[in-house]
Amino acid sequence: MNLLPTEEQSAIAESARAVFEREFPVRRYQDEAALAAPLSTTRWQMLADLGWFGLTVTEQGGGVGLGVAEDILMAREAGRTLMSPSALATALAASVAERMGDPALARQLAAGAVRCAFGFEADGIFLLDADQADWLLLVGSAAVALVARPADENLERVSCMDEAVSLHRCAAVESGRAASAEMRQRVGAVLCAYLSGIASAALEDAVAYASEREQFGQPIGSFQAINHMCADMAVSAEAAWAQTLYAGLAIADGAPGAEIELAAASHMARKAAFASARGNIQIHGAAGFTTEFDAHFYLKRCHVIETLLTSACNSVETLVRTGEDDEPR
Amino acid sequence: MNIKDSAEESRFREEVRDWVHQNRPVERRPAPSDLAACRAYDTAWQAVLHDAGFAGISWPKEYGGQGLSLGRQLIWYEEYAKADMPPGGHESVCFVGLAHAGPTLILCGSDDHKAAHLPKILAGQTVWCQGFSEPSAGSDLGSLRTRAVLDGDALVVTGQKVWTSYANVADFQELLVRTDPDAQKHKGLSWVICDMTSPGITVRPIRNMAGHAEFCEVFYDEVRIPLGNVVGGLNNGWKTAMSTLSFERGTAFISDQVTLAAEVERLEEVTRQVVLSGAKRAIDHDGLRDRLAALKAEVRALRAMTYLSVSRNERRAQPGADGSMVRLFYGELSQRVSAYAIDLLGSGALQRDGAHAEWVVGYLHRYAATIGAGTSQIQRSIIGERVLGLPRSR
Repeated sequence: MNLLPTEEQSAIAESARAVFEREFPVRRYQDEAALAAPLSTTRWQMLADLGWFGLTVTEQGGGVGLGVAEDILMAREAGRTLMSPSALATALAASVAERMGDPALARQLAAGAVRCAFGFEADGIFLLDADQADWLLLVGSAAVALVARPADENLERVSCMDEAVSLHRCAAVESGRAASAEMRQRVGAVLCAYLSGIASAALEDAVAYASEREQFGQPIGSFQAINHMCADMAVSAEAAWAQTLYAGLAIADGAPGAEIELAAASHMARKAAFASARGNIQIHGAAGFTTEFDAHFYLKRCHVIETLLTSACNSVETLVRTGEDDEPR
Repeated sequence: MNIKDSAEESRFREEVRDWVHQNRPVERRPAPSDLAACRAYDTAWQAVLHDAGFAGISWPKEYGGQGLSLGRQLIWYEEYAKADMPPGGHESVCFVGLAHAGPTLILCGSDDHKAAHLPKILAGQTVWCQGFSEPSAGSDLGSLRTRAVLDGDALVVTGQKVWTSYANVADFQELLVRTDPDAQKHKGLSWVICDMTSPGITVRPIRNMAGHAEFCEVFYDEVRIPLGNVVGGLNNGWKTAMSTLSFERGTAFISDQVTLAAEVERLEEVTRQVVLSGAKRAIDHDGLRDRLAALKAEVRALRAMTYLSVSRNERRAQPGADGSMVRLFYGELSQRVSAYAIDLLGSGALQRDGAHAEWVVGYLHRYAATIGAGTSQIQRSIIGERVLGLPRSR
């Protein structure tokens, strides 16, 4: 048993973090033009060059040949920087494409030549950050499916609570083959990891602010009320990340309990991300309420990812089964 | 990263599983209302563990322990707790000796101290208690007042300790006293071995809200303790007491997690059986179902957090402050589990001695989980300051 990354795994996460902090810091969204604009070809290629999109595609298929653990580590870094969900979708889609016997598509996705976006069902089909995408990873609790993205004329752009993500709606999509149950679980684990990243980054934002901001002659972080809020956020984030790792490893092992471990991770990751994001706004005081600070972006992204995650995995239903299949697990 | 056993760990796990199943005592531990019987039971069981080669699994071999790796310790604690064995943790009278006093002697004691006490602790021949907290020194332990005055080759102790678990059945006490009243706070303390049969000691059990008298007040009226019983040096007691923090690597904690997880499983079974007023099944009640789902998720997260903490401890010389995060999470989660049980059982839970006695008593007892061994407020401050690096409160 070991829940710490190997040196190689740490190196992957650290080099991603270095690029993300330099090229994709959260404050990039302060630039109006960057909000909800699709990543430029150059910037998308930067992500491809990290090896991210082909991380879990086999080496023969043009990828790096790694697994769920590395997927999760990358997704956490992506969450920390509020990376476009399409980057996650593309990395997952490359693996789906290869497993479904479309190596050419897998190679294109891995190389950054073609993009995929997430879609989910809710009174129609909603697409996230799909402007430049040719493919859609449609997330549902029964399965995940890789489908062609509908043509522009069939898409209706709608405004999103998260201004940094574009949202489109369409009536229907072409049907696609459902990916394996294991793939759906991997999508879930990756989304949990992204939320863990939000939890961690929003907490750091709160701690940094509380250490600097002074009132009554001292940093507000020295007051127990603030200190204890941060401590609760830290515990929540730690619990979420530990369980996300455990669930990811259970999925990689094909363990029979993997679905429940994922449901547990989903519950914990959602709670932690919202706790950190909300706590971060509160700790920033009035400043947190404005768009001049980044705190609101963390919170809004929680809602986007939570919507995807609860589409992929109904945690209450999985953790406590009722109905015909009434056996406790 | 992996959650699987290696081949060698797998073999060890089987070995432990076989042993615990073959050696589980038929008799359950007596109720805490009869502490003398509890002592007899716990010490007899410790002797069994000792003879089987499972005493002091985290103690170095040179002191009679098993010197098991952290990985193997985890496996032992997991399989032991899964098999519903006699309490091995803080519910046993042997706990302070095995987890506190013994390790302190290992880290700070003289050869004479070690030879006199360690083998007996391991074999279940002596029972220890902890004399640290006082009525005016709980969270602020460093302000303790029990005074020890040097008189020839002895310390003369006068004062009072409180919350001393099992003081009325203990042979020895790890006692923290003030030997230098002029030194600043925790710098004037000494850690001494106190023989509980010494003249001048009075023990008064205190009844807790669950109805048991497991902990006590202890009064010292000019109790003479040989200077040779000072461990770690005169006026160095604080550092001596803190030394055990480096000994505990988080593995024993998995027992609490396994036990709590088993409790949640039992609660799920109960939830599936209970029918509420109006003939609605409890399992179909959204509020209860949501709470149960959350508990199932959280008890798994607790396991993962424990594994993560132990993984870190395998790679560093000193445990870190992240252990506080696991403790805080456990304390509050365990209370949510107990509260759920009471809410599920409804009016049936009002009867202390009825069919649900175990849940009712357990629920009342759980109030200690966020108080003992560091209140949850202190844990939060530790996390904020030492894990997150927030400025200290002034």
